[in-house]
Amino acid sequence: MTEHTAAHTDGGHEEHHFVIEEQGLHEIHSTKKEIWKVFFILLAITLLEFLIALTPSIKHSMSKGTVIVVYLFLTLLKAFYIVGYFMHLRHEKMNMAYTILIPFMFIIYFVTLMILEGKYQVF
Amino acid sequence: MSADATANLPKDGIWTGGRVPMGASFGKLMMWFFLLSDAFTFSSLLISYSYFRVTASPGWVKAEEVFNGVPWIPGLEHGLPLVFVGIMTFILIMSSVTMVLAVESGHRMNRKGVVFYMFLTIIGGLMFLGCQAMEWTNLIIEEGMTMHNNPFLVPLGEPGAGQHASLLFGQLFFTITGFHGFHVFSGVVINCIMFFKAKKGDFEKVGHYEMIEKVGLYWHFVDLVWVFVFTLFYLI
Repeated sequence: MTEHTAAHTDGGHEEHHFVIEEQGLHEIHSTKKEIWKVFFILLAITLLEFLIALTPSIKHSMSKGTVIVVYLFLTLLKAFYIVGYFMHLRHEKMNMAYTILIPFMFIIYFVTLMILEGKYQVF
Repeated sequence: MSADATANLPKDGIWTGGRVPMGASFGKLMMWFFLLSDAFTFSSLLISYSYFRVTASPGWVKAEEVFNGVPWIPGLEHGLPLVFVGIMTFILIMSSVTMVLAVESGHRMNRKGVVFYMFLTIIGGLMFLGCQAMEWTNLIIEEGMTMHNNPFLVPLGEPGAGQHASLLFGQLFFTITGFHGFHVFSGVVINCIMFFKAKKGDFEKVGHYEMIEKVGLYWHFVDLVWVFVFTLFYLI
């Protein structure tokens, strides 16, 4: 009687966009084009990191603190692309994304605490 | 009967029943929660590494002096900082891409594609493990760095001599990369199981390749952790 998989498709030839209405499952699948795009972004960021690390003229033009901030920014950018596209979190429901991401405020809290504590030279 | 029962329930809210609130299946959600807990474990390890390093900065081992060559390849053993780690990073990113391509093939119910890309992913994982084994062997046997011995210790009479921090480098390095390497190893084992299941056609019987997606989540997480290990240990 009821249709358990009332699926309809929209979008272009490349993007499959299934909305299984009965179960509320919301799935947008990534395409091959998007996968390779993300790969080249990750590769470019990694090469940029190597460029900074291996070129003394670039590395010494900034202060040590700035270099660390740049490295951490590039790392978080890579993490965004891996989690968002490879692990698909960008295409999940907001409900789920928040459930996964909000607990990371404890990590931010921990990092802040350790930065404050790190002022004291114990070793 | 169940259809009538759900028809009578109010369906206007997310949490009032009749739909999946997170838009993901139970198994996928639980994999995400497992990875969340694992992320906390790795964060604790990496934050302690950073903490010890900051509090002991004068006596810390310079990473570029430790990892400056490709082990066992004549002519390339010294003077090439970061190259070997760069190869390892590239291998892991590449195997992550083949994993996504396996998931993508699964969405199209393409069994041959899943099997092919899972095979490449397993090869990538094994190559990474091989590289790590080479790196560890080089460090332990050639350089003499263990949990209780540190050949890079600054000798007495020089600034920052005899600091414990240098010993902590080896301990933290072997603990964190070891813990990550064990994750890669278990990932390869799980990938092998999924490879044979896909080859046998088990997922076609079930009707979907969601299991590949769940394993994929785990594999990308391993890649994600490596991105942070790479930055904190080798770059900074």
